[in-house]
Amino acid sequence: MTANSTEKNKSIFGPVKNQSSSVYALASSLLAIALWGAYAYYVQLTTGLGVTGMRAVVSWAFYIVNFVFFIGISHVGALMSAILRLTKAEWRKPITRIAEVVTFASLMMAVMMPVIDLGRPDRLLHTIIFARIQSPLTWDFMAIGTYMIGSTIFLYLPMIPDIAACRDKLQDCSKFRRWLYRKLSLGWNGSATQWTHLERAITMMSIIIIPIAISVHTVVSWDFAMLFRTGWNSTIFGPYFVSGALLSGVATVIIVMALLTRFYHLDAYITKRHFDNLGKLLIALDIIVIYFTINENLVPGYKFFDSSSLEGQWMASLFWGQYSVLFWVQVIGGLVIPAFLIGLPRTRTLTGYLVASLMIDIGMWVERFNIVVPTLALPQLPYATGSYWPTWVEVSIVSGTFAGFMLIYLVFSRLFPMISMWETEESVTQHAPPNLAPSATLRVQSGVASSSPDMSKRSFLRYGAFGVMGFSMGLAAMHLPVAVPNSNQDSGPGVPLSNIGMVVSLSEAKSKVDFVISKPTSLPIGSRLKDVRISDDNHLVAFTYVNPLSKPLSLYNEDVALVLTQAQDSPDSSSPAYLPTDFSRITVAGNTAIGREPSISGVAEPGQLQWWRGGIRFAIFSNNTVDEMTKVAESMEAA
Amino acid sequence: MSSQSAGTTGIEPPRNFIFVIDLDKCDGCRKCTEGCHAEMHVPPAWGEPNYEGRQPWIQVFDLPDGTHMPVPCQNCQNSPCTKVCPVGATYYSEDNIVLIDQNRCIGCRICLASCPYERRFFNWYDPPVTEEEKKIQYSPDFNIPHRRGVAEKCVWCRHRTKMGMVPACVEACARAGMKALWFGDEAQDVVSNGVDSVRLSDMIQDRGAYRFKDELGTSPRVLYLPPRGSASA
Repeated sequence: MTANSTEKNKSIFGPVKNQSSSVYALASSLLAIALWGAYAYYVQLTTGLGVTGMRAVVSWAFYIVNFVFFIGISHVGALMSAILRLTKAEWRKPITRIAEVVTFASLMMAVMMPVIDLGRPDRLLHTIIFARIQSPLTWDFMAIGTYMIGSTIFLYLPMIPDIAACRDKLQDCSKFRRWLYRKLSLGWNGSATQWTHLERAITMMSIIIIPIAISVHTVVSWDFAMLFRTGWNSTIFGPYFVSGALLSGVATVIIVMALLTRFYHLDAYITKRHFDNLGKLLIALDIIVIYFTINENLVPGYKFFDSSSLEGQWMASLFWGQYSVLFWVQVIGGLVIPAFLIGLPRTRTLTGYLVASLMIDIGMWVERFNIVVPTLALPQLPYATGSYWPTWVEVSIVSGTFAGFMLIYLVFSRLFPMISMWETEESVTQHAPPNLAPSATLRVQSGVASSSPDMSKRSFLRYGAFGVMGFSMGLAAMHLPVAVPNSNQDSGPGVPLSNIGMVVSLSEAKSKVDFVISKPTSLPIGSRLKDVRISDDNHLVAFTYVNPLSKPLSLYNEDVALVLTQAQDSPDSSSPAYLPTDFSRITVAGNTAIGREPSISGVAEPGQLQWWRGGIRFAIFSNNTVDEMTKVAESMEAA
Repeated sequence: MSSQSAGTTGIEPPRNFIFVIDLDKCDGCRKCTEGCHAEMHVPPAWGEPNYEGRQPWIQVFDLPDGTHMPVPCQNCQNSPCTKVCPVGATYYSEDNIVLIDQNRCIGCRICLASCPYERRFFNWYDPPVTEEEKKIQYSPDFNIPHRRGVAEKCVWCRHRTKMGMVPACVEACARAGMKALWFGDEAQDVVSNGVDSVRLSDMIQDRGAYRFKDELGTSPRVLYLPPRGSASA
């Protein structure tokens, strides 16, 4: 360890050690914005989603736009850490953690958005209990859950040696921090075996995280592409979304890097070279997104230019109509101008990169908006174009997520070193595995973590990673059996008799209803009156009968064999003109009636007889034949 | 008990409900929408500019050529809304009517985005519920009382059609003397408007019936009869 690198380490620990008052001021203002967003959500939760600008035509808006944007930002962690690690781009080392924390913080915000967008967030668990594998939203939940777990592990693994260094070096910090560093460092002591396991776990995670990251944003794009909507009928949505995600992610990392070098004095680690290299990445991704944007708009634009078809209306709304300002802001301001800013040598400065990145991020947010809202606003039926304007609730919640993102970042950067010290050392000294000099010497003094390496803890690194991944995939597989379409929901076990109303005596019923109650004098042998019921609105009277000789009705979960109802109906009501297949017309004491035989064999639906007399609708449900029910019907007398 | 009531589809011949809309007869009076609102206690549209007052479960469009087009739920047999529901709250009843179990719906609104006929609605606030409505036992067939935060749709008045009656909109149309809306069973080859019954195959053949947005492959169960004298007849 050279004197120079010790000096450098001081600047890495600097932000972790010094908690200045300006940081608290920043943190409290961010917290205030986030809390205001939480209050707005409280208003939405208690009043209903109607407090947003969304309505039946534009039914998804700011929340979903913000969701897609934050999911997009989160991709940069996988790009920087996994792709650049596997391709051995050594320059990335000081900035990997910066990117991984962007992933972590943005995913935290992204997962909140669909929940905020739900009409019934209290039923969130239904997405697991009743998950249907054929819904794009289920793919979403699974992919994002897996990605979240995977990227958290991926952030954590390379941090372990650095947390151990914090544990050993920062003895004068608060009790909470010492406890946190001790727990999270998992007894790390920098032995050769530990290094081997760590390197292997990180390499494995690098390989696993790439397909997961790509699938996440592809699945998010399918939330739209799988639906019947002009403007979403695109087969390039997957790569279009993924490339846009990487673009906005790299832009965000450049912004964060600029802020960190400015305020945390990390210039010794983050140099112009890192900005230049990220600038190259940014312009490459920018051109890819421009290419996709041309594809996505020129093809339908050429075919449907000036056409009255839906596609034509959609293109017109983007090119020169209602959404043209946003569209051109995104294309020119968010893609073309940044390409020039990074492309021209004169503007290839720190300020140039920062401005270009800010423009790209704003442009990408607007791009997500241009994908979601104008398409939904398109009239699918012959009416006027839908309209959408966000309300204060939506603006507050979205601002709250941006504040929350920054707050997570701030807290993280104050608790842990933002530069991966051991990886950076490694690239300086070219020693593998590196010996982490400060931690090795200080460990002896502190005596906190002088325990010998624990086998089970070391394997935890490797197996833990796979265990959690496997668990979340298993969770997905568990859904497969319940994923069959549910077609028999409404023929479940019978309903309680109390659905009809409450039990009363016959005289009580007579006093309560406006019509003359009739009662059958002839009933199937063995029938015994169980009770008389009256509906809550005194509108319907029911006689229920039990009969040991007859099968109970499947309609109810109580033991009744025959139910006879009479209800007040409109005076001119009579038997319907049109009958379903199994009903036939008969006559009951001169009145037209409709009847259905019970299905005798197998799973029975009971027989039914229904007739109308003087504004009263009578119905019998039983497992008896229509003839027998007719006898009951004809024996009715005023009770 | 549950084994007895597991379903009846194996025994009864399947019903194949069909909705026929005669565009020649429709004069755009909106009696169908009113009848629907009264029957189903339809919640408000809460300011959606394209919907007047309440959610138009059956909406009448005044076309530029002077004709009128009522659009109820098309009851697609390959329905996009059923496919995309993440929790299986949208499902087919035994007689193939698309229903929503609003006790299960999470309000994600992917069905609203997926319906090419825009025949899905959402309760953005607590719908007004009268004392009378509170007494009704909720079922997906007759989804009253309505509640906040869930999707809504026309259910082809399944509580009526199950009993062999025509939906409320059809009845309202016939009462107004229009005879534009017809409802029936394709398996029996008969449609009715609650007053008259007509042989379905005659009606279709004579008039060149078509399905709305048939090219999407959603297999809607609504047939439109073009106005007489129009090009597509």
